[in-house]
Amino acid sequence: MKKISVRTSDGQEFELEENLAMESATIKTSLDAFSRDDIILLPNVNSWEMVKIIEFFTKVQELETKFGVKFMEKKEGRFLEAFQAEFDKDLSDDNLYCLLWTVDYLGIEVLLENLCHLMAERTKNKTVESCRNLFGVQHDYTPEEEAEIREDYSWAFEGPEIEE
Amino acid sequence: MSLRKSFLSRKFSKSFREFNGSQAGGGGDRRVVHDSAELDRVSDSVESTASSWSTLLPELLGEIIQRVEDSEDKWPHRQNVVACACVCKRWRDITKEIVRTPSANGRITFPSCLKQPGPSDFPHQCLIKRNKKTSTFYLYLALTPSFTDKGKFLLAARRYRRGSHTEYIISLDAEDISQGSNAYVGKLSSDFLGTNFTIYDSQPPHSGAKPASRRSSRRFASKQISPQVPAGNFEVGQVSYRFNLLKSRGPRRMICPLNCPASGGSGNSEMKKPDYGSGHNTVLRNKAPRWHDQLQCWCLNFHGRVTVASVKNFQLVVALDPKGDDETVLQFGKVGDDTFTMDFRHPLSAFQAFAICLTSFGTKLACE
Repeated sequence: MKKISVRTSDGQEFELEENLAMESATIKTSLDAFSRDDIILLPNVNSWEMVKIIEFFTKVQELETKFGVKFMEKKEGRFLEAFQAEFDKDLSDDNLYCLLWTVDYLGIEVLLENLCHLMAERTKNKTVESCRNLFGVQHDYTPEEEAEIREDYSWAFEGPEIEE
Repeated sequence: MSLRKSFLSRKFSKSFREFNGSQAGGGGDRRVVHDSAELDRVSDSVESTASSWSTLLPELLGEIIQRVEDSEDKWPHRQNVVACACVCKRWRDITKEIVRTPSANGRITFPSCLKQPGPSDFPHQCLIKRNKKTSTFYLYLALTPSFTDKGKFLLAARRYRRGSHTEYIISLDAEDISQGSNAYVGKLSSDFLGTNFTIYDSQPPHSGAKPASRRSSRRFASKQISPQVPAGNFEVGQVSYRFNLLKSRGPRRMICPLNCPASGGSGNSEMKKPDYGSGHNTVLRNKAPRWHDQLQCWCLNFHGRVTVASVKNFQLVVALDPKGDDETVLQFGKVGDDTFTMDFRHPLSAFQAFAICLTSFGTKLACE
């Protein structure tokens, strides 16, 4: 299989399998415009991210062989669970954040699905305040909105005041 | 698990993305290709990754929240969707949009969903528990098929005698069921005979709607959260019981002209306002039971959801449905001394269904 060369922002070159390269809408677009002998420059991708992406993609291929179905065809839960089991524990929030940006930039649907799933799992079962801390957002409600939110929250959680 | 456990807040480490200043040239005789438009994005993202997730692209944030919503479709886990909607305005907007899509068909997520139509395909199965001593009724969304499991609390109602008529006050707060409460959502008012009822919503069904009585508006003005929302009670439906003069015609009849809310989103971004404006008027009637000769009683097929014979039990269908559909839109019946099931679907909202079921309680004079 033909290899496609890419260079990451920190100057490292990688040779990607063609099927991985073609999964990236961004790389594919570049290849359509230029010859496959050219090195594609990826200024938004760091080498450590490229390493992870190759690792992720290899795992997806492994799962597709194991389950006998393409992930994007069915998006089955067992794919998501297997991917999560393999990668979740060693992926810090910061790493996951960077990888989400990068995978979105590269336009690799199958990895975007899996990483969004990982992030969604991390978003669950947190208090509102913990969610704000994790995502670094500020609370920006007016007093009227705040009152409505407290009402929604206390009805949904059927308990006393929100823990902040 | 306790969803109110607080977690240690996490500090963000500095971004470890490194970008070389220049990406000029390539090695050897191979041409290096790069998209110059992307270099602009590089300089933006250096700053954004260094700060926090708060600048996450809305599309990505939407993808993440969508997955939370998809996977937490049942209570109590659906609390997580509500938590997402409480984080900040941007999250709230995204979550509201996701919850209002047609694919989220009648799911109950926020209190405001109680005034939106139920699902079109399978009805929501609910339980009503009665406390005779305090004349209080509690509506729960059933989480299991069992009639004894508690379920997700939705609404509470209390019966009050007001001179010549009776009222049921309906509230989001089981501990505070009064018209002055912030959790007040509407009421049911009956005539002296207990055969004609009017359903009132605490919020206007459409802009320009006038409240039913000016006296009520003055009472609530001071307790309003949002001064833009007019105070008062707005009529959204009626329920009438008719006595069958000929016993052979069967038990009492019910007719319910209602103003049902519109489905899905129609651009109304406010959470608390039900969207009756583009809703429709409909009339429901109860399904006539069949006389069972052998058992010598009137029978309806409740599909196992009603297990105790009672005059209170009923099934409502759309009267004169142009589609000729005979599908049950609301089913109510007894399963225990103080436990009843309530199954409802589109076009009824949980609030309307609950109000209609409340009319079944209590003696009806001049009615069998």
